[in-house]
Amino acid sequence: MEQQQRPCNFAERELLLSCYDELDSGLQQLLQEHLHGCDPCRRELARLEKTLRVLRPATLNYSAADLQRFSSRLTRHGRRRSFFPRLPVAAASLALVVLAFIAPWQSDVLRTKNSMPPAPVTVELGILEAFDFYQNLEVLELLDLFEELEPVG
Amino acid sequence: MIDRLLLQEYPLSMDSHNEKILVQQAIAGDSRAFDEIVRLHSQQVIQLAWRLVGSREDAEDLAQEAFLRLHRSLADFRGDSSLATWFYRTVSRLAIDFLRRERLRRKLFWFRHYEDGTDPRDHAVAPGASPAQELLATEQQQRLRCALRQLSPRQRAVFVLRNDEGLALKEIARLLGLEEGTVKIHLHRAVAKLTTELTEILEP
Repeated sequence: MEQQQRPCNFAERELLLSCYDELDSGLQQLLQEHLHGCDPCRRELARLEKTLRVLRPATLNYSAADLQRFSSRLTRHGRRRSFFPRLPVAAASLALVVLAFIAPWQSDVLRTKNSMPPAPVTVELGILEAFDFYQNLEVLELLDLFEELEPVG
Repeated sequence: MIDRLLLQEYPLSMDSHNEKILVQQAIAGDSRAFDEIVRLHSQQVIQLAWRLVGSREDAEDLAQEAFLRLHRSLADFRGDSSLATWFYRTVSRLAIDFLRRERLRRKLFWFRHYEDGTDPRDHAVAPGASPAQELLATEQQQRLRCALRQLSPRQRAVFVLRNDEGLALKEIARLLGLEEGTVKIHLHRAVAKLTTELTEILEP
């Protein structure tokens, strides 16, 4: 903003407060007297007033039907809340109780698990058979190759 | 000069005596009394929330939360301030928290594309405006909404409460729990930032 260009003591903030009618009466009087002889301040004030005209309040387009919808939504929600007034607190308490029961049991299970020897590694027989099959296939392919090479010597 | 008539738009749509009776009935468990409070205030509360957060859906969520909080705290409602003041305080603070979370979310997930949350249908157009004027006004409002997103949550709240809702800075300071001087600084920075963001519109 152009505060530095104005050779006077009135800051832009005071001009803005004057636009909003928020300057105390003594200062307002001083400003009015000052504005008579200060062209830069008059220009600045005009610029601020123009800005505030653009920043005029917006109004929401809210119909009677919208209001009705909001009102019934509020009633629905209110009823739900009054039916379950402390639902979040009740849910948290229930969770705590469940945790209190589960925690010792869970630690017992963990302890039992740790004390057990490691389970033996088991491999399914089918996989081994398949493995043999692929190995045999490889051998047969090599035999075929030899048979092809036999006539060549 | 910004006219101060805006102050009369919302704050006391009903006199304080009637309001007290209504609140007393709601405290006594009369659901119709609470429905009446909702009916009287919902439009203004949603509009306030929309101005603060810029999206209709989020505004409805915040308004809903505000009404539910009112319902929960009705028993503690001493009536020292009007319901309107209570809504201003609650919705503003909810909106500031919401905007802070939203900014954090944008920082964390910067690679995602977010909708700017503005729906052209949200803006009420001046009656009798030509289609070209409507289009221009809608475009200006959309740019303004985008520019508002560049403000910090507090700057935005102070700006909206003063510029759109017409509350006095002293009142805003009280609602947000800030010093009046801090509120003035927030307002000045907000206007300065918006001026920079809207240069194209301001100096065509």
